Amino acid sequence: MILTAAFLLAYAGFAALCVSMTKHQVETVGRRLDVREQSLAKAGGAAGLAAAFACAVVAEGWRFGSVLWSGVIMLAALALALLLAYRPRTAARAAAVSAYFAPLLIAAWALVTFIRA
Amino acid sequence: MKGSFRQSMAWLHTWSGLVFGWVLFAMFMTGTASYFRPEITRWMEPETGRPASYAQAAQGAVAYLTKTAPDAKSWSITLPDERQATARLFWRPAPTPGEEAPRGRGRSENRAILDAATGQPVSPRDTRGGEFFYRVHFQMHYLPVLQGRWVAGLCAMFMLVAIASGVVTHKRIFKDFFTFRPRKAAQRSWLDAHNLTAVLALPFHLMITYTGLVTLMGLYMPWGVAANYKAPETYFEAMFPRAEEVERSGVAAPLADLPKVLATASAHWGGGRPWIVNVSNPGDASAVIEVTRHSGDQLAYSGGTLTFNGVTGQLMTASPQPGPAVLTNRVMYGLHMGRFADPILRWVYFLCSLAGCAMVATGLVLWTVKRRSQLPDPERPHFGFRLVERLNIGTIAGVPAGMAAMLWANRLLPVGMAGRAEWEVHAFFIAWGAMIAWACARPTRRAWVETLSASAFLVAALPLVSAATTSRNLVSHLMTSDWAMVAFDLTLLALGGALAFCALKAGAYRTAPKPRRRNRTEEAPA
Repeated sequence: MILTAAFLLAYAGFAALCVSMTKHQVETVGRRLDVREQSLAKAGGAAGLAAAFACAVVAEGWRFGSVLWSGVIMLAALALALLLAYRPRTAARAAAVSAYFAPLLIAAWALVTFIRA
Repeated sequence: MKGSFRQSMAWLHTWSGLVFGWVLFAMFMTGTASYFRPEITRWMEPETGRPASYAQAAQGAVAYLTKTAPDAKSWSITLPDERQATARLFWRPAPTPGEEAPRGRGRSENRAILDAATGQPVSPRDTRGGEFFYRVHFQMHYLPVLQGRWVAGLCAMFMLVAIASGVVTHKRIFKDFFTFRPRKAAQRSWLDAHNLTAVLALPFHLMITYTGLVTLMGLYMPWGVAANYKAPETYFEAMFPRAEEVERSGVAAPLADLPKVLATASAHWGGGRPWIVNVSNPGDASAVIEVTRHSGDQLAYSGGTLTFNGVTGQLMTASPQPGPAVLTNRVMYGLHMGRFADPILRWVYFLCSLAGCAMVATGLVLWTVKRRSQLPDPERPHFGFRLVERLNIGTIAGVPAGMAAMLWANRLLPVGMAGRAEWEVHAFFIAWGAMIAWACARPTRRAWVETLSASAFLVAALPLVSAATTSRNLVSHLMTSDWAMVAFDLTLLALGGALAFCALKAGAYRTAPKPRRRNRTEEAPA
């Protein structure tokens, strides 16, 4: 559950970084972003990747978690790049959906862990 | 090799990538498969059952050995983990007086394979299993082992060269981070694909290449050992100390309860799994039990060994904690092997590794795509170009076909055949060679489509071949919830589908017309 959240966060994070780049803006969100929006997207992207790291470490500990995080972000980036090539709008929508569901998954995971404890 | 730094790096990238590319592709493919080594072995030994707990397997192993080799010099038991279905045993018989005790692995009559759950001996068909892909990945085949490892090391070294020079060559790593334009001209989209698979999985490629070299660094750079130890043997003694051999006392004493000893060992490791158990002088008062930890328990690829009194079951000594240098080495080894990975992480490893295969393959293709439009007459390329093109086709389609052919041979060769395991391996190389020959005999486009289709068929038909010849089939695995084997068949179907997709794409491919205007800034070396 929390690992799915890590993947979704990594995906959403990379998507935000991608949207912060001028060359990908029109194909994904349909317009150019202004400077403030761009830096917001950049910060959001970094936050997504950081949150994915936190999830991986919580799930697997520092050692295995950091290895897992490296792998998960590579796969998330590959997934985004492929989707972007064929369905750029879907790629952007999928990022929004991911960013929405990731916190829900984390909350559900926290709840389950809390009940079990 | 002239001009700017970047141009010379581009030259280096192009040629180191090309010259070593075909072997590297085979190394990447077989290495990728090796992440599922135990599963491949299980699939190739359909006579074996299901994984079971190591404690259960240990009980069966002791019962078998007590009956078969009660007064052996020593027993060795390789316990199964949750991915393996058998315990592998061998024993050294007591030396007859006056005879030197034989060293090394026992002869075949001193070996047995037991079912993990029942402890009954099983005799799987003669096969190398997943072990072959693992071995060929770093020591080739048909070559003496050490020479093969030198070849692998040379290729890995040039892989590292290609990665470093590729990073320099690629001007716009971050600008083109997500860029893939499949509908653009051939050269553009192949370059994008090459960049994408290389850059997005770069941490993996760098890690796997570097740690791959580290796994065999003692072979490639023996001088550190040579300078510090008088003889290589003293180094090995220091690195991998062996327990002092103790003479049999002649006083009979029952062996300590092995599952209990294993439980103690596991508790000592904070829940770690025992892997290899060595018992010397079983049934004697001087018996000693050595328990080695599973190499996949930690990031470091070595878990240490505990020594127990073989009669009382008391913990006697633990191997010392490794120093920082040794630990660094073992962590790198562990990162390369990925044995610590749980199923999710193992799939992550597998997919990153597939991205590596795609990177090598797209790089090889790019070499020809980039040069085709520059040929004086693209219809009649010169010999070097044709050679590269044929080897590309024959290798990119041929290695997966060869790997599948080995699994076909595993199912179709008669079970009692002499030299069966070797012929399975020959099937790998025969199929690969046949694909190269096929590629040479046909026009380029037809060659791509036909070899890729053949390869797709060989891979995707395996679940059917298996169902027709053995009890391993998708339905029965689903019924018994044997998920590893279910995943195995589904993965074969998916990989076959991916190859078929490549064949379709190759069929629909049109050679791009000669570009009218060459945009210098867009030009990236291939």
